[in-house]
Amino acid sequence: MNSTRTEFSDERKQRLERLKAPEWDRPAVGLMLRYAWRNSLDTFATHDRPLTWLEVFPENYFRRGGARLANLLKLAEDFPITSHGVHLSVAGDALDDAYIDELAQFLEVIDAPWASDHLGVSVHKKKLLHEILPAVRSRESLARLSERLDLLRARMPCEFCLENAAYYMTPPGCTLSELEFLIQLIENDGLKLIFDVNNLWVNACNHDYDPNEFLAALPKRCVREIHIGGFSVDSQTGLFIDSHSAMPSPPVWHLLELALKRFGPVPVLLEIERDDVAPRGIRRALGRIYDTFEQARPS
Amino acid sequence: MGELDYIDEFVRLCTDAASVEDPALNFYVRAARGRKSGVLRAVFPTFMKRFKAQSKDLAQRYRDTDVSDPDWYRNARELLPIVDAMISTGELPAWSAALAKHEWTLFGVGLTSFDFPEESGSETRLNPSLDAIEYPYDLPRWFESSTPYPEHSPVNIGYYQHAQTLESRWIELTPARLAALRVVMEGLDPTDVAKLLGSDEDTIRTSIDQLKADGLIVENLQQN
Repeated sequence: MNSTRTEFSDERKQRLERLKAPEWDRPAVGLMLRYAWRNSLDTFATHDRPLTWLEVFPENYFRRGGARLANLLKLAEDFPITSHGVHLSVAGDALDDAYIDELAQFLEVIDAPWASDHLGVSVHKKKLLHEILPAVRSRESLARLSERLDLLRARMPCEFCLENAAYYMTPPGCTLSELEFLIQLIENDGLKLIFDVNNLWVNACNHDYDPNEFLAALPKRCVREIHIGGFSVDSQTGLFIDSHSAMPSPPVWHLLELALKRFGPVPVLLEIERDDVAPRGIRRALGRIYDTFEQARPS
Repeated sequence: MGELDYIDEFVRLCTDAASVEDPALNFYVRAARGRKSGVLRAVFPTFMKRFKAQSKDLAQRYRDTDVSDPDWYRNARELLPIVDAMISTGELPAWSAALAKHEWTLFGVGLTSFDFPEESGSETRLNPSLDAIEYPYDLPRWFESSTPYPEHSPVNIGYYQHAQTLESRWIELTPARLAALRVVMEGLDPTDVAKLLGSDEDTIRTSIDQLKADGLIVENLQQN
């Protein structure tokens, strides 16, 4: 990896200040970067509703050279970039030392304010699963996660967070509910969440619980960043799927408002995993995030 | 670690194509299969389109391979031995190996960071990312035609990162281009090389200029 330190612009410094200390009248609104969008970012925002930061899947960049990494580093001159991985497999059978080293190096190069992955299993016996399977929610698993969070804190150059992943089955051996499991990690291990409101909705629908009660039970200061995206419905099983293939739906927008009321003006990131979305569609969705900050703002 | 036994079951179901009764596990299996096929389509776009009839079998065999590399795109090179195996059984034509290798090599040249003259301050030279491969089939002509398969005719192709854009590119290494590269590599006089090869000096000089424009011959950018 090209380890040349990026020269940061004044714009980037201002954006970073906003990202690190967002306020109700100065929210931080970000976008999960699709590589195809790298030259269109100006069209996604307006002067009074700017794009504050970008997030990337590190696995698409950190073992690359060439144009892909170079173009990301160019964007990093003007935008703070956070990392949202899928291959850490924090709840799996073992962590991969080489992966952690490479990720840490990548985070240094982009000067990431924080990084995250999913609370799940994506690698097993050194094989990629190509999906994120759910963590087994048990006391034993909590103890293992606690050790791993300590290890990650020691080896990452920035704060490390986990996302409440979507899950479509409850693995055998679970003795704790999703909420109990998360609260234990937050209260005992100081876990900061990437709180995905679309995942909250999808999980609530698939596992039949009240998302409002779930949200209200989470500690107030546990969220580093909120994710919002769209879901789809699997025609074969009827499961709600965290596919990011559509714009967020009305109940998910409502959960964003509730989450902002509960957690305060934390940074909010839009996740759309489609290259064919028109810029005005992205601009509208980012604008709606700004609107939701207005709605959630204490009077 | 007994509590992760269910992952073993997931892996087993992903690789033996057994019918999966549990609807949620069924979803996970389909999703993982779809992602693996997506990786093949991304790394081997022309190959997967050209051999659409075999794509299901290719994807299934790829899914059945052990992951030799934890990187989901780098691991796509596992398709190459699968293609060779399918050629040996007559399921794919012999020339398909050339197409698969071409697409893998073009992808692979973008996986490394190279030291270009802008950083090294060196003189005019050959692009350090160049990887040249000789194929028994004329892929460049086939890409431009609508024929169903390429002619059995040897061809040299060079793969490289453009020195300024760093985009991955390929170029047919014709005799004139190879002569131009030799001039640059060995610091020769184009007139001498033209005499030696019995070719036209202007053609070699034009090739050098064209290869500079294409980013295959790189100059110290700070001197320009």
